[in-house]
Amino acid sequence: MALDRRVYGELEAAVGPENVSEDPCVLAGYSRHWAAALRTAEKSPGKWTPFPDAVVLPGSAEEVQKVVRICNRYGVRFKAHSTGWGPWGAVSQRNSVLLDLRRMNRILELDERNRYAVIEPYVSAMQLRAEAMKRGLTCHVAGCGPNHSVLASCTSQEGMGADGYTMSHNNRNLLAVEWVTPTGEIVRVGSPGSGAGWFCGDGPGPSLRGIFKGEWGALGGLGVFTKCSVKLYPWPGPPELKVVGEAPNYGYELPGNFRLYLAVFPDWESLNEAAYRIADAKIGYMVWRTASPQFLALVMGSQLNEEELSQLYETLEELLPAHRLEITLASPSARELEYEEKVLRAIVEETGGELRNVAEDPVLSGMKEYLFAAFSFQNYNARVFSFTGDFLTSFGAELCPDRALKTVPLGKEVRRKYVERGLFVRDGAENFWGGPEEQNRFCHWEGLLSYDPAERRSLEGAREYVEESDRVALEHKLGMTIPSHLSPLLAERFSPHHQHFQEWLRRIKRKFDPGNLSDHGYYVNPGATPPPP
Amino acid sequence: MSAEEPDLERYRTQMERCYRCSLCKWVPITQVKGWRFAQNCPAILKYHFHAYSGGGKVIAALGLLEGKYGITEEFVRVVYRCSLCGACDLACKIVLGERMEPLEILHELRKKFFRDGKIPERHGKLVEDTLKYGNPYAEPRERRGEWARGLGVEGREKPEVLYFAGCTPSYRLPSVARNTVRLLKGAGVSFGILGEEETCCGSPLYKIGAEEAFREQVKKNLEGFDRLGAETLVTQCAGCYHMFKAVYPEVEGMDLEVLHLSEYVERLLEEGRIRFTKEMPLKVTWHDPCHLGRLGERRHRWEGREVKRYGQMILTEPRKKVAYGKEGVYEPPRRILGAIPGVSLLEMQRIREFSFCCAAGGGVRAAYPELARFGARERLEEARATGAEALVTCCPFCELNFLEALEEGGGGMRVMDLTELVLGAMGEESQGLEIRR
Repeated sequence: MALDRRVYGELEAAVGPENVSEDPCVLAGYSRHWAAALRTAEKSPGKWTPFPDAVVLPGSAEEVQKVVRICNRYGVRFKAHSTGWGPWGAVSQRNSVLLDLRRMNRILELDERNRYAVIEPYVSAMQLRAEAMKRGLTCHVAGCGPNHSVLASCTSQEGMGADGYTMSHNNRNLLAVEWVTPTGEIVRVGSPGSGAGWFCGDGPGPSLRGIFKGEWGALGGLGVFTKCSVKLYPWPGPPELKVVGEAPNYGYELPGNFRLYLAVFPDWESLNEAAYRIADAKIGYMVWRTASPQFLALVMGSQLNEEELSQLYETLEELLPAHRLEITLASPSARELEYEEKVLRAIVEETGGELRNVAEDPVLSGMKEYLFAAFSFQNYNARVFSFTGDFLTSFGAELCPDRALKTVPLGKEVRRKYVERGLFVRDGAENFWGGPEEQNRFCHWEGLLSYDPAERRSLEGAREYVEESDRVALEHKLGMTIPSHLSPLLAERFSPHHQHFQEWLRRIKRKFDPGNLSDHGYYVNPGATPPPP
Repeated sequence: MSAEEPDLERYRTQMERCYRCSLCKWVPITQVKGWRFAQNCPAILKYHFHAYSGGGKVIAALGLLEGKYGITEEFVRVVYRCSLCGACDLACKIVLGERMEPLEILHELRKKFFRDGKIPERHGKLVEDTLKYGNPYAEPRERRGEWARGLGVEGREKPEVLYFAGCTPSYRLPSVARNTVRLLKGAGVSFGILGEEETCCGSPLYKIGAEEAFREQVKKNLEGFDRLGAETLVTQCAGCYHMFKAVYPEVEGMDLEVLHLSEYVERLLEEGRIRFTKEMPLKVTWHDPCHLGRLGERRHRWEGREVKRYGQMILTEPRKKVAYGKEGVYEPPRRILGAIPGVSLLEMQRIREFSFCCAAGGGVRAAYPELARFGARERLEEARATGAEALVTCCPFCELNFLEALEEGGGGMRVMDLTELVLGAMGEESQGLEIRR
C-alpha cells in the first residue's frame, strides 16, 4: 500500500527528496532478516518481513522529530532502524515508515577522563572500540559481534557479550540519552536534561531509563533514540593491535602484557566454582566460554577439504573439552600479570582443572592470533551464521551463576534430540555460549544452534525447539529466554512469572504512545487483554 | 520469471542465505582501525539506502526473482551505481566462505538487466562506441597508436613481450604508455605493440553485463595476440590485467603469460636489467587498484553441488576454492617502491584485498560521474591522512578519476603513476600525468 501523497511529500520536505524512497527494491533491503522465520506466533513465512511503505534517512534528531510528527499527524506507524542487525530492525506491518538512521553516524564526544562516549545511532562497536583504544579505553561489544550499533544495543536491547566479565552488558553501560518520544518530543534523559553534560543517565535531569528501556528494551516500540552516552573501560593494550594472518582468518598479535589461557575442568560444577574464585580474587580481563569445540572446528574449517575438516573436528574435540573457560589476562604491570597468572593457576588446580597457555600449546599456538581475535574481541561471532545463513539461540537469561548453570544440562538434553535427528548442525552435544558477567555478579548461558530455514524439516525443528526450550525455561525457572524477545506474543508467556511485566509495559506504551504509532510488533501489544492475576 | 532466468536462478539459494549482517559495508572487522575509513563501499557510503550495499542488492535480486516487483528506474540505479569492485564480496565471504558469491550475483543481475534493456542510457552508447571504435571513449581507431609517436616503437614479430597499452593510456593518459615504453627500452626489453590494431580488452562491456559484445572483444584480442606471437603480455592497466589474467582464461582460454607492469618491473630488477640509481625523496602512499588486487586473483569457475554435512552444515562438493582476493598483486609495487632510494611508503588504512575502490569502474564513471568523483575524493582524503605527498598507483583509470576529482577542487595531493617514479629512479626522462581531451 503506497503512502498518501501528502505524507510522502511532507517526508521529502522534512529530510530532502534524496533521503526518502518507496521503491520496492529499496524497501526490500529492510525486509529480510535472520530469525524472522521463528516469529511463529505471527506465522512469519520465512526471512521476509513486511515491507515498509517508505524508508527515510534523517540526518539529525530534529529531522527524526519532523518525521515522527508527520507520522502522528497522519496516523502512520514508524520504526527506527540503526544497523538493522536482526528482525527487530524491521517494521512489523504495512502502512509504516522506516527511519534508517545510517546518516547519524558520528562519535560526538569521547571523554577520556570520565570514560564515556557520546554517540549517534550508526556508530558501530568496532569503530568506537578502535577510537577508544587510541585513548587507552575500550567499549563493551555485544554477542552479535562488533558490527552492531552501540546505541541500539544500549537503548533497545540487553547487549550481553563475551567481555561482560569486566565490561558488563549494554543494558548497564547506557548513560544519558536523547529520545524522540512516540509523539515527537525531544527529551534528554539524565544529566544532559539539565545541561550538565552526558556523564549520567539518572540526573541531574529526568531519569527515565526504567520507562523507555526496563530490563531489556522496547526494540523500536517506544520512539527513536538519537544520541546516547555509553560507558568506556580501561584498555590495557596498545593504541592499535598488529594484524597478522590472512583472509579469512585475520588475527591480532598478542601484546606482551596479554595472556590467553584455556582453563579446562572435569565438569560444569568445577568450572562454576573456578569462576566464583577468579572473580573473588579480582583477577582476569575476560572470562568466557565461546562455543563447543566442534562448532569452532566447523567455523575455522572454511578452507579445508572434507578430510582435513573432519580431522580438525576431532582434534578440537579433544583439545578444547566442553567444560572450558577462555581466560584473557591483561595488565599494564608485568608484576601484576605475573601475580594474576599465579593466582589463576592455583585456582584452576584447586578446582580440579588444567590451565593451558594457548601460546605454548603445540597445536593451538598456530591459531593463537586468530583465537585472540575471536575469543577476546568477538570479531568472528557472525560466523554462527556461516553454515546455513541463519542461526537460533535459546535460553540466555541473566541469572545468578548457580541458577544460570542449570541451563546447560537442561538445554543440552533438549537440543540433543534435534541434533540427533539431523535437524541442526552437529556441533557437539551442547553448544553453550556464556560465562560470568560483572565479576560473576551474574552469569549468562545461551544455547546456540544452526538450522537451515531453507529446509522445511530443519525450520520446523527450529520452531519446535523454540517452543520446547521456552517450556523448559518456564518449568525450571530459568528466566526469560532470548527468543521470547522475538515477539511480544512469545514474551507474554513469561509475563505471569515475572511480575506481569507485560502489563506494565502496556501501561507505559499507552501513556507515551496514545496513538500506538511507534511500531509495537517486537515490544508489547498495547491493546491486548490484561493477563489473569 | 525464474524459469526464464536460469543464470540468476542458479544463485537463489545463496541469495536466500543473506542474513543482513551488513558486514558487506565494512572492511573486515579485524582490519578496522578507527571511525573514519572503516567502510568499504563507495555506493553505500554515498547513497545510504541498504539496497546500495552488496547485501542490499542480493536481497533486491531475490525479490525480483520471486516476482515481488519488477525492474524500476531506481532498481537500475541501484544495480549500476556500483563499480563491482568486490569489496563486499570479500567482507561477506570472511563470514560465509564458500556459501556465498555476492560478486557473481551482482554480475548475473547486470547481465539480466542488460538483456532486458534496463540499463543506464549512457551504457548503451558505451557498448556501441566500444564495438565501433574499439574504445569506450569514441575516439577514432587510427589515433590509438598516436601516443607511441617519436618513441621508435615497432610492431616486431615474435617479440619477448607484447606491451598492451589499453584504452585510457592510449587516449586519455598517454604519458603512462610513453613512460612504460621508455622503461622497457631502458631495460633493453624486446617488445612489440599492437598499435592501431589494439582494441579494448572489453572490461567495461563485461562489467555492465554486455556479454555478447564482450565475447566479441575477447575474440578480437586473442586474434591480435596470436598475430604478434609473443609469449608474455605486459600491461600497466589494472583493468586490462584483470581481464587477461582472471576473466579471459575462464571465457576462452589464454595461452600467454600475463603480467602486470609492476610484476614485470620487479622481474627486471631481479634480473639486474634495471637499476635504481637516483634518489627520489618523496613520501608516497600506494593505492591498490581493485582490478590488480582482489580482482586480479583468478576466480576458477566452480562446477559442483552443495551438500549437507554434520547435520545441516552446507558444504560444497568438491570444496570450492574461495576467492578472498589475497592472491592479487600487492607485493611487487610495494617492493619496487621500497627499492627506490628516498621513497618512503606510508600506508593507508584500507589496503590490499580490502582496498577502497575509487569508484570509477564497472561503468560508473560513464553513467554516474558524481559517484566516481565521490569515491575518488574519499580515497584522496584517506591518502592525505597518511601525510604522504603523493598517491601512487598503476591503474590509469583510477588515475584519470583521481585527476578529474582533483580538478574539481580539493587539491593538496599529487597523483603519480608508478612508471614516473621508476623512470626517475633509473635516471631516465619521465612524464607526469596529464589528461588529454
